[in-house]
Amino acid sequence: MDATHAHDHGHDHHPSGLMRWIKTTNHKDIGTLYLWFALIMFFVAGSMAMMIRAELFEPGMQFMHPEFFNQLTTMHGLIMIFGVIMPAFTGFANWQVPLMIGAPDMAFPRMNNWSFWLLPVAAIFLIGEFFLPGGAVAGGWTMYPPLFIQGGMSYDLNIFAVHIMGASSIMGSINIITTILNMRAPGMTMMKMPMFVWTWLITAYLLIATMPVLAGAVTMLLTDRHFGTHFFNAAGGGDPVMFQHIFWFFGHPEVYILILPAFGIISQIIPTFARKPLFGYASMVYATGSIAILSFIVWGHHMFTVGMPAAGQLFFMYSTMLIAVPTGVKVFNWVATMWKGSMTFETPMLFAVAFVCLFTMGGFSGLVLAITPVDIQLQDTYYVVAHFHYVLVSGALFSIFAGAYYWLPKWTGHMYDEKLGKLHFWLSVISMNILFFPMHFLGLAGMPRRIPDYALQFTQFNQIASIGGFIFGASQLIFLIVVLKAVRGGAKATDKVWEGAEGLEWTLPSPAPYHTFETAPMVK
Amino acid sequence: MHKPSQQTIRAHVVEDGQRKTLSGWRAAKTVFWSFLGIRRKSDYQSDVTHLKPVQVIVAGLIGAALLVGAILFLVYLVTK
Ligand code: HEM
Ligand SMILES: [Cu+2]
Repeated sequence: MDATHAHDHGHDHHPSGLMRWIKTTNHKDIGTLYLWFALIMFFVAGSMAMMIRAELFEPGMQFMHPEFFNQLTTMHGLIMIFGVIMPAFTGFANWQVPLMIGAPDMAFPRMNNWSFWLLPVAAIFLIGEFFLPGGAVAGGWTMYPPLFIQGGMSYDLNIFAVHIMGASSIMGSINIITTILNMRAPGMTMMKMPMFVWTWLITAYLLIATMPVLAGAVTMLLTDRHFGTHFFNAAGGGDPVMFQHIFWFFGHPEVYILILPAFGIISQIIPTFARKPLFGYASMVYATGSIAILSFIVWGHHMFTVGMPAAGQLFFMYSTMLIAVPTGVKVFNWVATMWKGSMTFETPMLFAVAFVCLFTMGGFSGLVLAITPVDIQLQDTYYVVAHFHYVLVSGALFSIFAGAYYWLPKWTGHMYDEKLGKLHFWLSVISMNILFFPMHFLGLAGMPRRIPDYALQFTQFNQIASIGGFIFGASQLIFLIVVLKAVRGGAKATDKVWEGAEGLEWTLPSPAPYHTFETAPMVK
Repeated sequence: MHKPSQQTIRAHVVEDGQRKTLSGWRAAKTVFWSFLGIRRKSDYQSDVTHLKPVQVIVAGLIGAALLVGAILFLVYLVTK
């Protein structure tokens, strides 16, 4: 079917204007909604980070009350995880999974619409918390009791928001799993599936396994708060440490939910720009699977300091270190893919290469933290903040940028501005290191995290970090400009867009027509 | 309908039994390699054609349980 025809067909029987977006069941529309939502929330949570870095530019309190600072760190974390990284990856899945496996749409289009539209509701709740008496939740994104039992009404709203986002994620996962297992084009066997599809399949299972655990944990908080239970209240015979166990049984798999789709995106991009097939496709699939399984037996590494028998500490130390093996295999495979490839460095590839280097550093600092006696020193210091920002900013977020630049021409039909893209990359990668690298030193020197004030000797590194932070924050506006420019016009993108690109999505016209693969393609 | 002789039935049973143990072993090997994170391409391809997802999931859970047991044993040795 030719593009023009597909286009006409797409527009004659669905509402236009705002109602198009509210009622849409089209996977591309919903993917676009997810991606815009994530981008907007990125700037919301990002401006909170700017306020945090402004306050930390100097010791003492400058701009805000300590209570508000704590609200900022908490909401920054919650929104970045649940409102930015997860929705962005779901947006990629919505756009790309059907295109990559040759399906006409997602398996449950109406549920897909519902999954998305729950998110703005949750976002309004989360942001609305700031305007409630007592302000937003301030107990950290990990929602530990007793703080989360004692707080005011924003804590209830927060629990509700987490429930809603969990429901959205579960429905999204059901949709993705069903689509991948049942709607692949003839010939698209499991072993031919693109890596991005594989990683999302495994991520979706992780989500279905862990989101109910999180929902259970926050429900117990809710009943402790209002319905007379004492799950986490020591005075009533409960145990606040139990919350940590339940939370991290969700929480550690969650960090893999935040990184496996990133692995998938990087595994699409590197072969394209190295013009070589992915080295060790099979081992990538296996490594992803085993990371998913192992992620359930390491949660105790977040709790070394809360009190645990030596045997428990050893168990979680060993199991955490084992998980680095399949992760290392992946890094090796990406490097081997680039080895002797004829590489070019367009913006997606730049972000992908930066991912490989910098994510690995985050993995290494994770290994350092996995050593129990070391973690007992470093737990709750800026070293941990450095670790998870290397895996989440130069890991998850960079993969999102890489993927956005990679598929933007397919989505919009226009090439993005390569000059601005490169500028965005270089400013981001340099400022990101200025921002987060000194945090390793701060942590090693003993500066605690989640603290609005600090001792004088930490001033210099904090100022360096803040300057890096402001540059990083400002650089992200370039990304917004690039996206807006590509949406509104620019050089016409070819169908294949990238010389070395392979896969079903590149057989379609750019922009991809509203309806694609209504008759399934044959995959040889 | 043609009734199969007693012998062919037995032959089938034996064959099925053998295939079960074989694929059980195959699933175990698959999971072992996956924990390491590497797998030869040809082996991978035969895994995908010979194993059902349920088998891999069950083998994965058993493998995870064994791994937990092995780490616990190591911990026991270290703290003894
Ligand atoms: C080689 C792999 C990894 C290892 C060995 C590892 C290890 C650890 C350890 C031991 C901690 C606890 C530090 C403490 O609180 O004292 C930790 C914290 C954390 N890690 Fe990792 N990690 C790894 C990969 C990742 C990835 C891929 C992500 C996310 C994409 C991630 C996100 C986080 C986050 C968000 C925290 C902080 C949680 C909090 O708020 O307390 N880690 N990691
Ligand atoms: Cu963890």
